[in-house]
Amino acid sequence: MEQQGDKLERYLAEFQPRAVRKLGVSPKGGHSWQRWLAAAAVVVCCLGTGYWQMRHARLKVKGMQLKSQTLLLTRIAMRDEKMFDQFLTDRSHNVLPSCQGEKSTLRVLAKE
Amino acid sequence: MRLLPLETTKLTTESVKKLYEKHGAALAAYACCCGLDFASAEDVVQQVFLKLLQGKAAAAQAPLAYIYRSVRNASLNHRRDHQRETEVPRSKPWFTHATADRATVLSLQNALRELPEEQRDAVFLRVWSGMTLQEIAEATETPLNTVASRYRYALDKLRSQLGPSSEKER
Repeated sequence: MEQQGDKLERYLAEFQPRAVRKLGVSPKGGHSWQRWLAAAAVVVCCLGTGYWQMRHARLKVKGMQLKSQTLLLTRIAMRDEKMFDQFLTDRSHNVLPSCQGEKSTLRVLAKE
Repeated sequence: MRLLPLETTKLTTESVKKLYEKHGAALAAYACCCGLDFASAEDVVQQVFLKLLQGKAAAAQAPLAYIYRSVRNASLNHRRDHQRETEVPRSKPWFTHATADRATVLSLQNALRELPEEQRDAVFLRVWSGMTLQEIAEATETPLNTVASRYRYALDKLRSQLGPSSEKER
């Protein structure tokens, strides 16, 4: 009986428990802060790309608008000079700083 | 396994690491017997040893038996905490054998799982942790005769479950 027990014991000992990973090593080989860092890098890249594309698209639209405006103005200038002057005067109100205020720098300079 | 340590001591880092290297695999298999899959069993064993390393747990005079008990408790806690999760089929074996086929390995695993707790503890401590029955009796504060009969009953059950392959002369 005892001999049988020894035989079975030896047989059982032939089965080796599966090896475990080293102590203190996380299961997938990466620490959690590394995963967070990688995730943050991906988010920053996505935001950066999105911002760049948006800015690029805006500049493109602005360029196209300016080009079409220049063509239009050239055409007006060639056809009707008065209309062109009037147009520039009107536009200058929108573009140049107003000198309506009493203490505006432009008004002070104009007086001088 | 009844363990009521009268005196507790803090293990040195070196001794904890040595215990892990020597018995980590057997402890993971033991945690699998408590119903965990291998990955969770590995995590549980790591947690127990990391607590020992950090000094959050003080081992008893018989550290190995204490660690077995800690692993069992941690495994049961893990099962309780994750019982709502979908269970993954336990197909990955946690024992290996040079010549035996997968079916034999799985039948040993099932047989170990079906053993009563005390008998299973005796088998693990004796076969895969290399303790003598006398040492097991001292570590678990159980009479030697009780340990011996638990071990004998366990072997009988394993023999009947494993069938003739366990009887071959080696």
